[in-house]
Amino acid sequence: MSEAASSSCVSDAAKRLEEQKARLRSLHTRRNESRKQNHQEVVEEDRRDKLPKNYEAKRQRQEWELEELEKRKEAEEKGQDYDRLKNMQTQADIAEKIDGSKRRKKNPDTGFADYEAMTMRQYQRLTTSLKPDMRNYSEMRQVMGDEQFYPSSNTLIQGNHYPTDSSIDRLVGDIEKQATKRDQYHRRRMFDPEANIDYINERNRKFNQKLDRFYNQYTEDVKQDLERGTAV
Amino acid sequence: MRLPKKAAKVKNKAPAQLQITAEQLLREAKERELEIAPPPPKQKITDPEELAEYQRKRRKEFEDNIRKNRSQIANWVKYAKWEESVSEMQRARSVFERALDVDHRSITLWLQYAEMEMRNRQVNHARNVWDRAVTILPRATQFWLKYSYMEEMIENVPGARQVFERWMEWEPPEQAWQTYINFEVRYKEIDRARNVWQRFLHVHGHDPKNWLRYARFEERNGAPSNARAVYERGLDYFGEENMDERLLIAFAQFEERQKEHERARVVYRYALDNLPKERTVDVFKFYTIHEKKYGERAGIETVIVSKRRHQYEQQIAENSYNYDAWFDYLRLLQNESQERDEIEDCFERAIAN
Repeated sequence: MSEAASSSCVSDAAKRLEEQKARLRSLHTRRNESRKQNHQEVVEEDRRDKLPKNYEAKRQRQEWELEELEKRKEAEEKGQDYDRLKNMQTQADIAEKIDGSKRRKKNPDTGFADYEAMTMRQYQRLTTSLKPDMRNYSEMRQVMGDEQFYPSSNTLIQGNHYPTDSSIDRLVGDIEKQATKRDQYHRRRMFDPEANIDYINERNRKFNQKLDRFYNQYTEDVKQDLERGTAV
Repeated sequence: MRLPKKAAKVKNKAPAQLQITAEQLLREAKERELEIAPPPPKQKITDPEELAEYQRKRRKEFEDNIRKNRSQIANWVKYAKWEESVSEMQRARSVFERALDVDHRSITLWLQYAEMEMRNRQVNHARNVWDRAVTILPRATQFWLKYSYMEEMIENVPGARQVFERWMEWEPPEQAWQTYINFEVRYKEIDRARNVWQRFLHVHGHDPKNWLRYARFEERNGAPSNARAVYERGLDYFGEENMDERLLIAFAQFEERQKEHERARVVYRYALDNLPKERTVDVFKFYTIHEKKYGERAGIETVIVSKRRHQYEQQIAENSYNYDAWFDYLRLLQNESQERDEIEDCFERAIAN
């Protein structure tokens, strides 16, 4: 009896041991699983961080553009006017907003016209971004009185105004900004070692460049003939 | 000994075996680099005497360049810029003044001079330079623009205003007036802007576009009654002989925007009655659009009928033997069931030809 009991005890113990081992193993596997999954998540997050900031937005926009292209192709095949279809499907106020933003000036650079026009263009660019200090303005108006504040060309206001340090700083900063923008308008060309040498001198090179600028459009044919050796 | 003749006769006239090309000659000449002098050895300046020596040398170079070519402004400007870079303001000023003695009409000189003063925080010096520039060359818009911009940057708005007032005394072109107006609008001085607009129209009122712009301005700043007054004054200004269709069309469209459709119709009819035939095309177009949007059927029909009548009249006036035009005209009149008298008149005229 006791032997049977003890053997059953032993087998129970063995079974319990087995069960515990199995449980331990399952815990181990679960821990390993979780570790693996955590690691995968970390890698994913790291990759997501390293993506450029507007990746999501950019991808969405690209997808949208692709869809637009496909729809446009379909409309072309069916012979419909895609723009008209689109207009019929947009809401009225949104359509108005789009129209308004298009009508607002885009101000493309039309190249050099003459110095006065370019100065005017610069002036308009600078003044549209100017934000006047209205509080200071109204204070100054109170202090100065209307006679002096709204002068005609004859009222004597010379010498009545000396600027504060901060406003002179603003002026100097603005002048320097204008200078840096001016530098952008002429870029340094790269040195081309394979270009033809038709000069003996740096001054000669510049002069040849000037000649090319003015006469190339007329002498292209002749130059090609000379290069080839015979006329066409 | 026999001296060689000046132009020895060529015996062998065949081309040589090995020819040289012009390109090769140029390349060899360039690579010889005859004129490129090696750079002078770099010197470190250690004490004030050496600095003075270096500056004296640079100044001599600049003065030599000026002596070689006095009228080249770049020589003067580089000299003055260098003096500025070594913080010798008085010398830089004197260089600029000498340059102005040579050529006081050069805009770049004045601009560089004023910019130098501004960059070095010399506001009153800069004002002096700008005043002189503006007095000597009043038609150069750059000076006025940059002067007023400087005063605005320094927050001397009355000063900027006075600069603009002085400028407007010269009655500059439209864009200049527009900058003054934008300046006033920037500081929310709409009344003063109105004043400027009116003075502008005194000067540049011959172009109807300016009247339209003023009216637009009034409309946008929330004073439609003023805008109406502007349109009416414009019509008075031009009078019957010089009437411009753009003004009338814009007036009618303004009334449309103000939802005054009867007035718009009146304006359109006035335009049709008083303008010569060639200029009524646009008027018709806009009138039909207006009627289609806001008018009754009868209104639309009358407009269209009168438009086509005008067309036919024109064709007939050109060529009185244009039978097709006559027939179409008569058929139109009959279809629209106009007055019997009119149809009869028309028939008479056709037969008279």
